[in-house]
Amino acid sequence: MAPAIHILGRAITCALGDDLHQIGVKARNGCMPLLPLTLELTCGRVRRPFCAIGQRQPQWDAPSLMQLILSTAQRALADAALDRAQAAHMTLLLGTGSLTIPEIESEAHRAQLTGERYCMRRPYACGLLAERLALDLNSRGPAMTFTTACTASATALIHGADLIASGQAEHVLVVGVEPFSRSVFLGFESLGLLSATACRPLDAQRDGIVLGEACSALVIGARPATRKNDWRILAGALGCDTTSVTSNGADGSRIASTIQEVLQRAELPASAISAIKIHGTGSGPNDESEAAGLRQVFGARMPAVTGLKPLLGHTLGACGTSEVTLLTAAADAGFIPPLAGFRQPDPQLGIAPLTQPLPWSGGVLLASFFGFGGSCTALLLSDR
Amino acid sequence: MYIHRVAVLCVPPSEDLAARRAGLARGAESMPRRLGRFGLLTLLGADACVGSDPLSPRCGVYLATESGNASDTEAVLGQVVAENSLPKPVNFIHTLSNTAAFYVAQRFGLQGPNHTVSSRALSFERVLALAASDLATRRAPQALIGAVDEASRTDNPLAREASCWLLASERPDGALGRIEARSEGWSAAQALEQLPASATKASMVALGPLVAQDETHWWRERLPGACLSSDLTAAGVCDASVAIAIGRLLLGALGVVCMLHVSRDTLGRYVLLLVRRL
Repeated sequence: MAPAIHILGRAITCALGDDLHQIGVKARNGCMPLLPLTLELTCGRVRRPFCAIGQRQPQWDAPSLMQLILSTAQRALADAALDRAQAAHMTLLLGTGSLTIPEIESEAHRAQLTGERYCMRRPYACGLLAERLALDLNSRGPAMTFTTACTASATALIHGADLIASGQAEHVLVVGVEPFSRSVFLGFESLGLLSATACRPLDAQRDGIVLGEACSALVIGARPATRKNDWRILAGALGCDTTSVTSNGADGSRIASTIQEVLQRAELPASAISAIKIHGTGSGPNDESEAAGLRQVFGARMPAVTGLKPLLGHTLGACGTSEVTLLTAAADAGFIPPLAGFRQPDPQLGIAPLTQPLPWSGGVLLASFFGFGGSCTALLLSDR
Repeated sequence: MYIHRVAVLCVPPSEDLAARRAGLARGAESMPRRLGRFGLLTLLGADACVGSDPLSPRCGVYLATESGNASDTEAVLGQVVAENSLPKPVNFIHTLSNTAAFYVAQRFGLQGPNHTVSSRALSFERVLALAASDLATRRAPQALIGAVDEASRTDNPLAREASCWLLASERPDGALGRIEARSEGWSAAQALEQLPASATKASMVALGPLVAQDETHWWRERLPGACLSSDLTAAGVCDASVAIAIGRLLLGALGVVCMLHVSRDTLGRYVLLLVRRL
């Protein structure tokens, strides 16, 4: 088993706010911060709920996006109490799905308003955000951007843990960022994936995905955290489901093998898991494949199951770091959040999620993240 | 890290890829629908690298790209911003950065890690390190490592598009070559110091596109026995030029056996790779 990696600092800016204590209170109460977002298109109106930072109509340009990333990263670094020298040498890994698209859209929109002919500034460089953040933080360690869609920041977190375990890095700052972008929002709409009501994973009344925006950051390292609750990443697993570019195989076999791999890497039996945070997007295909995968691994001994996307929205590339932050912060406050908004069990799935907060006094959490492009990731976290 | 197979596809942006696409389709049970130029370049390079050799199902896919799928991204921006309409689903799917790497995994049935990463001007160096880490931690027994980029300036006669791939593992038997060492620093001297002494015996120094012309003299002094090469001269204006240089060395196209590749990013960070053809 690889050495455990410690979570030293964490921060999040999301639809529930940026104060972890307040976010925990809202998670306990099952708060679903939905903003009705309306876009007028030439073909008609699109009106969908969205989980927006600050509960306002989202609009990002390069300076505001960088400010969001920088302030969140700085809060995580302060929480980790890294000194200046440690911060200067840390590795910086950033996970995002939309990259710099929001600022490109902003430029294109401005050009349209002024009547200029817009030509996308190529190359727009996928790695731009990590480079800018490294510059703003005076970080001189390696910086890299992961762009594996919805698993981007989870994948970055797993790689960061590998770098520390192998001695290639002492500290790694892992940032997940997903601001609203018109292209992504309307892209999901064009695929018919967006909910008209709310995100309801595992629920017979589900009707699709609610997108959200967030920026979150975790500082990880080899030494234990000084805080009371020392969260450790026990292991991470990565895989690819080659069934379809947009969904996992309905039989859940790749999801099951990813979970089995993470258990194997941590040398733990399935019975060691105290609670599961599912990916849980609220789409029918995701529910079907994820429930099938969980049944294969856990059978009749299913641990407590919850999901966090009803609280945060699906924050795509940022969901890895965002949901790990929220999950561990809630557990520090003594509970695992219930699956907010859950109404009616789906008999086809055979999984009954938490409908009330689960008291937490320590244990092992399984957190799974899946995404477009066949990405499968699973993490084991422990505070025991 | 040992390299067992190599493919270098480098074409001008004006080249019609239809004939190559037809060849690709003949060798496959199915082809992704309406594959754009970025995805097509990706599959063409990866297919040429793998050939008919069976891969481990746990082989990982590691794709480095500076700009991702730029043409589909432009198409979606046109639909969403200029036309104020919904994007076409197929264009939208292809704008997702990891779609191309997924199609590689799907074509060869690869269930290992599947990464798409970017790190301005150092993307290929970073993805090599990522693959080496996954090989060392047994996340994958083999790594299919690629650099794919469309041309950022189609009006430049020197512009090139590339899809260069290496098949790597930790097994030395039958290898074409080896990434012997890698170092990083905030000056060329600092990076060079960290390499083994054998680096100064490299027979070629290849300078990446952001290495200043006036550094040529410095490198000539440090490695007096090596010939100097410029990625810009050798490969044209191409974001995947590092991978092209390494690929050509391993294919025996450069007439030398050991190359020190020097890259520099826009912040002034140097990454050196010592690569040997076996």
